[in-house]
Amino acid sequence: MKNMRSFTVIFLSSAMLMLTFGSIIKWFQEPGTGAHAKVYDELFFVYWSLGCAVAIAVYGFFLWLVTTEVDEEPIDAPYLGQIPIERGNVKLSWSLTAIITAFLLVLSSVTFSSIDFFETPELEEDSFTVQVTGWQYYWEYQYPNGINYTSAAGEPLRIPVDTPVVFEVIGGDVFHSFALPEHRIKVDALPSRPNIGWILAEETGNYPIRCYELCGADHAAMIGELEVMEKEDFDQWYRGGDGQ
Amino acid sequence: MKRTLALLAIVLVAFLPGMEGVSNGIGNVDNGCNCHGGGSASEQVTVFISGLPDVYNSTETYQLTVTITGGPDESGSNSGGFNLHANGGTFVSLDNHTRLISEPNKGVEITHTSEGNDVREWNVEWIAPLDDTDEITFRAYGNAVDGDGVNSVGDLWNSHKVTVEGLNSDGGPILDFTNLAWWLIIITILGSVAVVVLLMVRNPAVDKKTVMHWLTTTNHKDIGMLYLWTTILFTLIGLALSLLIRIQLIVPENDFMTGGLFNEAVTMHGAVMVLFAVSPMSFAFANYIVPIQIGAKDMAFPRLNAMSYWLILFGGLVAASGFFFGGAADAGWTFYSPLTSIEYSPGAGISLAGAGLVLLILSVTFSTINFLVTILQMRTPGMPLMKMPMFTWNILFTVILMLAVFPALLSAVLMLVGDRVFGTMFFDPSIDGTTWWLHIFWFFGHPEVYIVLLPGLGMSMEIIPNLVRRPLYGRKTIIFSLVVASIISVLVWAHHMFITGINPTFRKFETIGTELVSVPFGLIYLSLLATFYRSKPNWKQLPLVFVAGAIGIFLVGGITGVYLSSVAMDVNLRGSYYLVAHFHYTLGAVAVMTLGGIYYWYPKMFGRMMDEKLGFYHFWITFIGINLTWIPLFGLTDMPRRIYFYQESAGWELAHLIASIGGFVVFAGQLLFFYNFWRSMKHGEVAGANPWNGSTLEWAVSSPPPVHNFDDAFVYPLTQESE
Repeated sequence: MKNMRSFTVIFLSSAMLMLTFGSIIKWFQEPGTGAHAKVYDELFFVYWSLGCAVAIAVYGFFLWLVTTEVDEEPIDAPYLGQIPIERGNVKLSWSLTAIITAFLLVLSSVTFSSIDFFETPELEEDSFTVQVTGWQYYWEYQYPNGINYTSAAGEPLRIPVDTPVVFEVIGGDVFHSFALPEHRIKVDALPSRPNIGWILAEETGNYPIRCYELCGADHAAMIGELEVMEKEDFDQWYRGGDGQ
Repeated sequence: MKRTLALLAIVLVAFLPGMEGVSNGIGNVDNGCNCHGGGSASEQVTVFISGLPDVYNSTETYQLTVTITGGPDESGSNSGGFNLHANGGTFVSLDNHTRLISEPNKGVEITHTSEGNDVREWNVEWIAPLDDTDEITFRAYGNAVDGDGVNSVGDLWNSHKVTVEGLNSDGGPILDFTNLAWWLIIITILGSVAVVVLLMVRNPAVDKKTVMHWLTTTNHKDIGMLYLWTTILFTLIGLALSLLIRIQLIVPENDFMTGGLFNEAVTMHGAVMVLFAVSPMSFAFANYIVPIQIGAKDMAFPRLNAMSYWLILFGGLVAASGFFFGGAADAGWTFYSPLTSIEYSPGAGISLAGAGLVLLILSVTFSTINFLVTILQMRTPGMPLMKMPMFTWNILFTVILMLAVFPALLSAVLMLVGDRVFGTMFFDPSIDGTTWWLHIFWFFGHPEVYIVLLPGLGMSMEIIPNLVRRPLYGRKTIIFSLVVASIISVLVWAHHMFITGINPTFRKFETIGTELVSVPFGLIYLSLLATFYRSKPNWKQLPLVFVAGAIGIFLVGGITGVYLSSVAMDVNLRGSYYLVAHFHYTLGAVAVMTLGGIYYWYPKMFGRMMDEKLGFYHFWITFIGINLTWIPLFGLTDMPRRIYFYQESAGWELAHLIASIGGFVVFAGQLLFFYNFWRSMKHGEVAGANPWNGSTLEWAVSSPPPVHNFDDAFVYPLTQESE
């Protein structure tokens, strides 16, 4: 039973394998919401399945390698003060390079179609732009009709459902990052240079807004709220805020 | 004389941050009143806070008035603005002319509203805090505005600062003695020093050598030893800080630490671990082993080598000293501008960290020169470049990368310290200094992770072939992969700034570049594995067990890294705990490889083997602990990193509870390791010159090696029979 000696490493590898799978289980319990999340969650699934396949292949390869171990000292065993022996196969290296590169290019093409979707807003007639400014430690929202308030007042950022809305995000003081985790949207808020993001919410409800860049002592408290409203409710609120 | 001058220059650099920074006016003020008139404060304007007592009573209410006099004429509209800040108590807004800002620290800061923009006098209330033992400092900034409403030309500003004492205040403590977490930091720093001193005096080599010897030594082995003690010290500090972070996050809404102290702990944990612990620890072995491996008698420039060591020691101490001087650096180890500016981080911490980094970079630069010359020029005859041992190869690539990227960090840090100390405004937001910082920092920061990784890989490439008794598979492939990886590493820095608004085409280029990193590392990884084919591994040997564990850990880090390299995935994963878990898996793998390296070379350094049984316990505790800590955190793809509390409703507490337990398990394992380290120096089994049957030249000399390593009769290569 020469392989009993490998028990340690077999146990170790299988543990790693299971843990790799387990690493992202939460993902499948809580799908996101909205147009971005659909694209994103699909993309994550592609990466996750390929990642797991690679992990299985590599750990499997390692396990198989350990079962090939021999009892006697190998003929080319290193000895003290030797000139290192070259071993290996150049053709194999090149083919592995080609395989890994091709694999990655496939992944890239999937990625690129998703990122094109994320960064080109599919605007409709009733779309509008909200200017979002990050301050220590709250968000300020400015609507095209002049409505202007902050999350510090406890008010949510209001948008209509099923309408693409553009966010023009900027940092008022330091570097923040404006994120809607459940919609899988994140836009860096750099001081002095606005960044563009957009959202197409598909379900009404309230969702957290968080800051994802360390912005000072109370970074953790920089939490806002997004309220996705029915179109009529939103229009009513929006006109009301117009000062009519 | 020259030496004294050089020393003075270094001392000067270290003390620069002590100089008073230049203030840039009002920060954090709404409605466009940011720093009217620009530049410095104007003496034509007087800002005054009236109504403050000399000594305040607990919870009493005081009526305060902020007035601005002087400056441009009052026009009736848009004539003034103010910002009043206090480090305690509560402000109350009395009318619609003022409003509180800075949630959730309601009341520590108050400013004018757009209605209150037309006057130059504001009334507010201040309620003193319950605890009347603290000094409270009030600082008011005021703008005198000319009312043209167009721009800030002609507007002037000034500020006023008042400090009041509490009834039971004892003159204001310099240090915050009431804060348990702060005390724990101080105790662990001192405790780490004690552990290292215990290890040092136990060292059999110390008996024969005086303190003066260690202060003046230029022998590469003694300096390697000093590096080892120093990096053990910094590792312990870094680990202790990580435990404080884990304590803080163990339950939702924990109040163990304040947000500020948490940020200090997070920042110093990152900076100390990456820059002063893991990377220099491999340089302990580089110093000790590389010259022997290539058959040299010492480094090329022994005195420069000593200089490198002392610079890194004091660099680390200066950077960490912020804890004793009112607060360490608190803007994250990436030091994103403008949070690092004097305006948003007024303490000495960031300047001290900057000074420490300057010393580190000097040290690294000297080391680089030293290792390049040593490796390229001092190899024993008969050892061509391509036949060098793999650890030396990896150190060679490491120092080349260091030479390429540390100058970028030096320029970034000098500009940052210039901004803070002299007001140079390199990273001023108005010229997009944030992006500028990101580019320079990550041009250094990305290759830095390879600088940390390569020595660890080098150790694996020594340990695996010797302990599985087969030559390394694909030696040439590995060397060329390292070349490719080094080149790619300096081209892909922008993947750290995918969603900062850089050009979309550039982002795609960076995505492909980043993914291509896994080609050379994939080849290296598979070659390491293939070495096991038809081999004779001895799983009782600790270095092999550690390296095998590290290989397992590294695969998880590598695969999750491919997810992050995708610009589209990064949109959601950026700044989340998923990212944190990813890089702790890669750096954790390096740490475990380095532990393998310690077990491997310990007999060479101290002449005795480390205890096997304790070593196995250490391995399993560390391995389980690392996975216990970081696997649950992969699930927190929606949790921002570096937040010091979270709500129960977020549903993150179970993952953090497990992770915190894991953190303590890892720490316990390392205590066991240091006990083993300490014990084996006297009680370990005596090791011969070559306990692992190694093939490289460090095993051809006695353990520990003689002062000049080799006698003149030494010839490379040895023949198999001469063994």
